[in-house]
Amino acid sequence: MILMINRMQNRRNFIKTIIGGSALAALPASAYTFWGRETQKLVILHTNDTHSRIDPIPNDGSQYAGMGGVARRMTLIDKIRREHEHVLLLDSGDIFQGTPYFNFYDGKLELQLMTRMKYDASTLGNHEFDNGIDNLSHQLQYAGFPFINTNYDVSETALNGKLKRSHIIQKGNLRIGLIGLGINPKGLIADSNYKGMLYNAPVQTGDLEAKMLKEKEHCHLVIALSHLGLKMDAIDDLKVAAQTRHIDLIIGGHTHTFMETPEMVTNLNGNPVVIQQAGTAGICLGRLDVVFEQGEAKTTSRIYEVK
Amino acid sequence: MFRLYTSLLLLLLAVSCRQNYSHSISSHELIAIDTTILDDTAVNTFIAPYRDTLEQKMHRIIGFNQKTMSSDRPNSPLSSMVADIMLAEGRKFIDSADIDAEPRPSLAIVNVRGLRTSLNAGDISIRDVFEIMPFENVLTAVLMKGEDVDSLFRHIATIGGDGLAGASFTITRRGAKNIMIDDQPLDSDQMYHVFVPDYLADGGDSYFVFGKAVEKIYTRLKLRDLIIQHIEKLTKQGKQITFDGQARIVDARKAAK
Repeated sequence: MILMINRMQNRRNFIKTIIGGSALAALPASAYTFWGRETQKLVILHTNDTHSRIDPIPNDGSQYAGMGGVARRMTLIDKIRREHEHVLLLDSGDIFQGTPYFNFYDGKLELQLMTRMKYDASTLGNHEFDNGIDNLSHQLQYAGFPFINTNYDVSETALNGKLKRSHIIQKGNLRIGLIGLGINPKGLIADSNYKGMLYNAPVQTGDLEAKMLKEKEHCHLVIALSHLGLKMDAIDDLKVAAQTRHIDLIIGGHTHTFMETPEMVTNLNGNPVVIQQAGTAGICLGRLDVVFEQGEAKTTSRIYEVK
Repeated sequence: MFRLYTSLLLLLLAVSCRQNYSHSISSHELIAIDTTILDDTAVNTFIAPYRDTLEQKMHRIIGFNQKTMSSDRPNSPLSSMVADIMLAEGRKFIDSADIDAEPRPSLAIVNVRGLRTSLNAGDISIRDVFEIMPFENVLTAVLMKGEDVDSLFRHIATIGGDGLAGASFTITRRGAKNIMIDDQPLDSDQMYHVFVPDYLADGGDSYFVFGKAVEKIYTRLKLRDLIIQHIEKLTKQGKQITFDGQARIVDARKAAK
């Protein structure tokens, strides 16, 4: 991973790769169609594990010195929004912790800035709980966008009513369903910091919610915002993709993985699920362009096998 | 009205017409956020007062570091230094008059993953210490039975080592051996004080073994403050911080293969 990013930096600009060339990696889904146009394009912008990195990384000679910064991210997002009609901006958690901004302002500034950047949604990472569940609950007043989590039961905590199990965003004719998958807090978050919260299995609860979004809410695409991590011993994004039927795309986090190429995993319905993650600290902004078109689904060019 | 009618019609068509469609990823990229992208002025203005207040607190230089210190398994200069500070402060805390506790053999553990970055060579600012120890963790004294301390060392062996002070041991393929605490072999019948961040005392980073504690005393001493005070004290004495590359934990697993 580290080698990869070096190579990427040596090229100065990060890669723009097209999977399978013009054949495209197609993801079949349920049977709703669009009107007025043959195809529609959705641009998904995403971050994860930004870790309170509001200013660029200090010029200290470290690997990513001078990179990142929220003010630059805003410029980039604005530019892409001007160029495309349907843009989603998503985050996969661990917004908090990592610079003194969090120590002194408790996450308020991070959430206010994400609101200014007009994030459409985020999910909870484990570090959101670093100052306790009550502090998290208090800080959420500064987030002008929903936090989505499908597998934490927070009904007995201060977070009750402040998270969404799922969320639907309409972009033109497109209905995009979002779910959120949180990591098992045991042994990761101090017990006292998530007291009263119950963790449910991401696969079962996530797929059930995704099924509802597809079948009842007629979503054209279901995206899981995940903080489970990639290539973990425990349940992770690769396993979730392989063990579910209704999730199309996983925007991941937790493992700070810079993914030059998204992973692709075949799900229980035999369809490919794309997994992508954009490193950490706002060093990069991830971008995935999804094209929707009428007609039969095509097959994929590359499948990642889960052992 | 026309718009409403059209919307309804579209909705009906969408629901009644069961055509297939496909979606595909037409391109993907990780766009580097570097100096080629200019700051958004409005966002910068919004951050400015927060940044300025913070900068005043953060830029103060408290000492000098000759050689970059990292935090790694099984041993590293930074994790050893922080564990040493915790051990010294923990002993001071236990000895203090208002704590009703017998003197006992003691050791300190800090999780390598809890020290988030290296301490670079050069001037040390308050900010540097915040970057190393961003968490609000407090020093915690955990009283444990010798047999549970044995389990604790086996856990540290499983994860390949963590920051350790006051003790040494060897990681083998079967667990931990040659466990020495305060220069004495580990005694299962003895009681020990283990100084850790409250995060570990609460079972964080999979230190579930602290669930077996006989007693936990949470001090109000933040680890970050202890590190800052330690560096300031050395600077005042005209000393530099110690780079301790010594192996407190020996990993014998590779040698055994």
